[in-house]
Amino acid sequence: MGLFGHRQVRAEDDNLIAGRGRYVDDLRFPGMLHVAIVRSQVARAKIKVDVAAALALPGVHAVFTADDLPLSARILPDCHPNPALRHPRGPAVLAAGEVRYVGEPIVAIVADSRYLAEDAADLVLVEYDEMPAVIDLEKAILPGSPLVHPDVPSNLGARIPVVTGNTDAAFAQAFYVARERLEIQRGAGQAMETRGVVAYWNEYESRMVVWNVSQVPFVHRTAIANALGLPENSVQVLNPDVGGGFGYKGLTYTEDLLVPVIARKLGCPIKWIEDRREHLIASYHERTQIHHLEMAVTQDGVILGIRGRFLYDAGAYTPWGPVVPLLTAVNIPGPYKVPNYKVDADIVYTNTVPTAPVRGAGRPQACYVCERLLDKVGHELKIDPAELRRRNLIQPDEFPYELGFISRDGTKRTYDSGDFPALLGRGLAMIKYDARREEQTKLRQEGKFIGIGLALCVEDTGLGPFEEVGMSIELDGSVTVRMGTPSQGQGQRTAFAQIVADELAVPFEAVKVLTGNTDLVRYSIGTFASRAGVVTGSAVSIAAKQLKQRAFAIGGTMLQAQAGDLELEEGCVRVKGQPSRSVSLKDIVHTSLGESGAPLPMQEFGPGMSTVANFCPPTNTFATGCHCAVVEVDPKTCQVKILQYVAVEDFGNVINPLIVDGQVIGGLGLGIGNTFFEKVVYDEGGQILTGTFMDYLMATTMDVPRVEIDYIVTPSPLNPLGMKGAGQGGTIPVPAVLSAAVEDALQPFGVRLNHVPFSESDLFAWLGEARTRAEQAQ
Amino acid sequence: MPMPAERMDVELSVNGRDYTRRQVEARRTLADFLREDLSLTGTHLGCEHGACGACTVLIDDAPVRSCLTLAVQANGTRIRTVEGLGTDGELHAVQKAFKQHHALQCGFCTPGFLTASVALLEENPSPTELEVREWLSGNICRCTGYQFIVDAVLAAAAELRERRGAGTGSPA
Ligand code: FES
Ligand code: FES
Repeated sequence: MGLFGHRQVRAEDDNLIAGRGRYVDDLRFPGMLHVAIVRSQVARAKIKVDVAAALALPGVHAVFTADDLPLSARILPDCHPNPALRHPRGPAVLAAGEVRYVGEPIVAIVADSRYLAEDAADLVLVEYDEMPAVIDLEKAILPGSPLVHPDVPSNLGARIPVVTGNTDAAFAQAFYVARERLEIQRGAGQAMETRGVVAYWNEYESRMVVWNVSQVPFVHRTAIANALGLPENSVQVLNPDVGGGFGYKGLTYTEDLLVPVIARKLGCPIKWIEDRREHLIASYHERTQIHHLEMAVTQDGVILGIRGRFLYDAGAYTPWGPVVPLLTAVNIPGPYKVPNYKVDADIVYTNTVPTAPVRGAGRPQACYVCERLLDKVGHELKIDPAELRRRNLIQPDEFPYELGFISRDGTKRTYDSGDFPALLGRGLAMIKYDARREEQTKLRQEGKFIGIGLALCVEDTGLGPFEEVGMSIELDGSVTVRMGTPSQGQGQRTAFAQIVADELAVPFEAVKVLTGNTDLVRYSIGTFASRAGVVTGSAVSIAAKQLKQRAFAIGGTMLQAQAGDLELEEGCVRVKGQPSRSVSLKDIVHTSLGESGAPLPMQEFGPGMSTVANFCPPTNTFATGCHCAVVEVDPKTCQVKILQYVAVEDFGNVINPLIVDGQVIGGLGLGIGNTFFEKVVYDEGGQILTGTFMDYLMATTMDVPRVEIDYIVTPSPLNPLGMKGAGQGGTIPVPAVLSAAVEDALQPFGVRLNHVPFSESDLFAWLGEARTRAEQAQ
Repeated sequence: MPMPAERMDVELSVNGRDYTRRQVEARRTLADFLREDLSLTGTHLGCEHGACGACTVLIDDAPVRSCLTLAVQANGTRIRTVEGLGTDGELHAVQKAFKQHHALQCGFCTPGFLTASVALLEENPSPTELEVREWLSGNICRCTGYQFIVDAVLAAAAELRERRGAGTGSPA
C-alpha cells in the first residue's frame, strides 16, 4: 500500500479540532485539591518562612515547606551525571533556608481551589536576608565573585575540553585567523501549555498514579519512586495530550516530585498547574553562551583549525548535567572539515534559573559561531560565502566521516551519511543565488539593501540506547501498538500507524498507537533529541516484521503451505498466485488462541499474535540541512524584511512529509524568535524583567515567513528504515542564516553581527557605531 | 463594587444551550467558568494575561479573550466555544481545513485559532493572506510556524464561498 512517505493527515486531529483534546489541566477527580507555590522574590538570601496566616485561611488544607518533605524528596536527582561536573547541584524541591534564584519554590499551599490557594500564597511571610548574587556570566568567574554554592570552590563548575589534531601547529601555519566574541542570549521553550502535575494514590492497586506532561515518563517514574520510597512497580506515570514539549519538558522538575509527595501525604488527588508567569520565571531556560573563538584558514579560506573557549550559563543548579555545552562543543565543526580543533566548554553557576536543553539544545549556538567565523573569513579574504563553504564541506565519498573526538554518547563521533554539496547546491538554486547577487548590486545603487545568508548544519539525532515496542493483533483484526515515547504533538499515532499499516497490510485506521503510560512497555528512555521517530519507529518496524513472520508461520500451517509461498495482502495471509487459499489475520488470531478450557491447538507457536521488539541503535544518526535566506534591511528604520527563506533538509527517509514539513516550519518559528525576539532578561540584582508574554516576545504570524522546503535523502545505514530525526533541524541554522543575511545587506555600512537575538533598535545602534567608526577613520 | 469572592448570578447561552441563574464568584474568569463550571475544557489557557489568544471564545460573535473576561461580564450574552463551532454534528469548514492542512501539532493553541478564524471569516469571507496573518497575529502557536494555519484559513474561506455560491446559485 505504501503509506511510508505518504502525506497522511493525522489520526490525532479529530479530537483536537473539536475541543476534545484531553490535557493535564482537563483532568478532574473527586475530592481533588489544588496547589499554588510561593516562589523566591530575590536571587540570593537566607530565608525564614511563616505560614501561619496562610494555614488559617478557610479552604486551605495544608501548607508544605522543605521540612515537611521526606529526606528522599528534598533534592532533585542528577539525570545526566558527568564526571567532569565535579560538584553537581540538584535543585531543592522546596528551598531549605536559602534561595539561589528568583522563582525558586519555597512553600506549597494546598486548598480547595486554585483561587483559594493563591489567596493563601499571598499570606505566606517570607523574610529574606539578602546576600550578594551573581547574575552576569563573565563576572561569575572573576576572582572574588560571590559563590552561588558556598561549598563549591568556584562558580566554574566544570571545564570540558573537546580536542582533535594539533591546533597550535595549525594556527602557526595560518594565512589568516578570524577572531570573534560571539554571544547568544537566554531563551526558553515556552510551549503553549505550561507544565502541570496531577497525582493520586490508587487505593485499589496500592500505587501512586501521576499524570504529567513529561517527555520521559520512565525517568519520572524512577525519580518519583525514589522520592516516595516506593518500589517502581508502585508508581504509574501517565501523559495525556501534551501541549508541546520542546525539550524542557523532558527534564525532571521539583513539582514532579512535590505533587506526588503531597498526594501521598494527604491521601487525595492533587493538581498543580503552572501559570505562565511561573513558567517564564521558573521553568528551565537555555542558550546563554559567550564564545571566544578563532578560526585559522589558508589563503584560499580552507579551514586549518578552530580553537577557543565558551562560557555556558548553567544557572543555579545542574538538573541535566553539562549536556547543552557538550552538544555545542561537539557540533561546532558541523558540515566542515576541521582537522585541528580545541574548544573548552566552561560551565558556570549563576543565581539564575537552571538551564537545560530547549529544542536545538546547544546546536543553534554551535552553528551560529561556526558560520559567523566563516562569514568573517569570507569577508576578510574576499571569498564568496557560497564558494567558501564549498571549499570546506565534507564530501559525499568521505562518509562514514570521523571527526576525531567523541560524541555525547561516548562513541567516536562519526557522521553516518549525507551529501552537503547537494544540500548547498539545492539551497542556492532555490534562491537563485547568482541572480540574487546581481540584483543585490543593482539595488544597492538604488539605495536598497538586500542581503543573502546561508548556513549548513548537522544534528545528532536518534540517540540510543533503545526503545521497546509491543504489538498485538486483536481478535477483530485491529492492531495495537504500545510504546514508551510519549507525544507532545509530533503525530506519533499517525506516523507509526503508517509503518504498521504498510508492514501488516492493514488499513491505517485499523492501527491504534498507545503511548504515555508506563504500564504499556517494560522500559523506555523517552521522546527527545529527535529520537522517537528513529528509535521507536525502527522498533515499530521490527515488531511489525516479527508479527508478519508469525502470521506466515501460523497461517502457513493453517493453509498447509510453505512460508516462502505466502504473501500478506489486505489483512490476509495468502498463497501467492492462489488468492482463494487465504486466511485472515483475524482468523489466525482466533485459531492460535484456541478455545477456553481446551488445549492450545498449535502448541509449537504459543498463543496469539503478539510480540515485543527493541531497537538499539549502534550510535546516533546525523540529520543535516542547509538554509538560505534573502532579506531586505531599511537602514533608516532598520526594519528587516525576509524576502525568501528556503530550507533544504536531509532527514534520511521520511515517514510522513506532511508532519516533517510541519516540524521544519515550526522549528523555524522558534529560530526566528531566537534571532530577533526571544530574550529572558535579568537585571543586575537577578530580577527577571520578562515575566509576561508582553515582555518575552515570540514570533507571530507576522514574523514567520513562508518557507520553501525541499529534501535531499541519504538514508541512514544505522537503522532498518534509513531514518534520521527531524525535530530540531528547522531551528538550528536560523540565527546563523539571518545574521549572515542582515550583515550582508548592511555590508556597505560595515556592521558586524556577533550577538543574537538582535532587535531593530540593536541594529540601529550598531549602524550608528559603524558610522562613527567610519568617520573617525577618515 | 462586589467583593471578589462575592457570588452573583449569571444567565447566558453557550453553544446554543441556555444557562439560567448560574452562581459564580465575581472574580471568576469566563475561561474558568467555561472550563470548570460547564466542563467545556476545549477552551485553553496559555498565559492568563491576554497575550496568547489560546482562550479566545466568541461572545455575541466577536472574538474575546476569556482569560481577561469575568464570567459576570458575560451575563446576558451568547457564547460560542470550540466545542460549538460546528453545526448539526458537522465540523465547521475551518476545523476540517485545520486537519487537512496540518495546521496543528500539539493542538493546545488550536481552539483559540479556530474561534478567531471563524470570527474572521464571518466578518470577511474573502480575506487575503496578509489579512489572515494580521487577524491571527494576536494568537501564539509554538509548534507550527503558522504557515499551515494560514493555508487552512484561506482554504476554508474558499470552501465556504463555494458552498454559499452553490447554495444561492450566484457566483462566489
Ligand atoms: S490565555 Fe487568554 S490570552 Fe493567553
Ligand atoms: S499546535 Fe502546539 S501551540 Fe499551536
